[in-house]
Amino acid sequence: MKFLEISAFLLFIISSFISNWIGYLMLLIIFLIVLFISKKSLRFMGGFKFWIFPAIFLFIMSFDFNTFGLSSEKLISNTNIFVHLYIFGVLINLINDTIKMKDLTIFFDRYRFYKLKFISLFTLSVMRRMSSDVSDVFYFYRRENSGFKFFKNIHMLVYVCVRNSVKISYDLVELLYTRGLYEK
Amino acid sequence: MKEKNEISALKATVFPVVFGVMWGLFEMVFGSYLHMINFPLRGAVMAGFGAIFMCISRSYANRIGVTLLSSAVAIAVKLFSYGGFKLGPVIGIFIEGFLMELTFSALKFNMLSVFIASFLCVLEGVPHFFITTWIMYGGSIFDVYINALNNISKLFGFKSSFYIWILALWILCHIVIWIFSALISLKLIRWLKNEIP
Repeated sequence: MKFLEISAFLLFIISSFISNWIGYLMLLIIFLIVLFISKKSLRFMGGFKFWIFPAIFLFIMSFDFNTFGLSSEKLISNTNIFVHLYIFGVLINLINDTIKMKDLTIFFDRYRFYKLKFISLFTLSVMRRMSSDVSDVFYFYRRENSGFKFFKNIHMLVYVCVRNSVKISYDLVELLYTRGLYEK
Repeated sequence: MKEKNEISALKATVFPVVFGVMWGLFEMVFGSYLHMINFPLRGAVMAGFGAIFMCISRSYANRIGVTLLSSAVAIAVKLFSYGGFKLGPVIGIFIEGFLMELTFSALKFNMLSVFIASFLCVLEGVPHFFITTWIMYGGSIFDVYINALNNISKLFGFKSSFYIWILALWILCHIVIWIFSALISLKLIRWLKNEIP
């Protein structure tokens, strides 16, 4: 991660504690930083449905319920909340758009974090091996345990997943030890 | 002796990675399912599962740092999964791993530490909700929430403190999930140790 990305995140955390014009200014700076780094990250995070509820809720809460009039003070404050949420989404988009596994391994190599590099690559290979296993186990569990049984027998689902993990771990320990991969 | 130490060191790397991946995948598959059916308290339920995975991995590789490494791996799995980065679960997994690591490092692995670590892991969801809401929406969101609750209580004629009871019920549900999680952890550790010592 570069200096600008980190600055954007720090500004965002600080802006959570400030609700006046300085907060708005910080959000604007973050917006400009993201515009500079990755224009496509400025899209609205999540589906359209995600934005309907906060928009309507914050608009309704801008009314004064005694006079049923729109309170400009509340509207400004609630707009700040909405903009804050939008910038939060933009930062999430920025992470998803810019950080790749390859960048991480380059980073670990550059700063000689060899163990971390080993762990990250090992994680990736274990994940590939286990992801279809977990999906299959969950598919058959759902098929055999519908309705209330789904929650009643949940410990069996966990047991199968955990037992598979222990077996895989022992296999990998044996494999890595006999090939001496870990020491290198 | 050297061979035993090397295997033990390998176990301290392999077990947290495998269990971290399992935790991350479980969050992706089972967590998505709970999200899809709008299951209430799904965060606490997933924290309960996380506690079970961490307790079991610690029972096999009892070294300092193992639980923290597991949570880092689970975060990585979530980060590079199809759902992408989500602040709530990522902060949640990190804090849960950190609290469990502290508990197991301080108290060693035993029945008491399993109960305390599971308690911290599941109940972490209570302050976590307020902190992530603060970060996402900014501090003034709580005034809006309290204002909304006051208006709802006025509209339906409830006492203005009714939301305190809802909060108490929410915390009680977390406590029930914690007890289940700790008991399932202990039961599964017993079963597994009989099958794969």
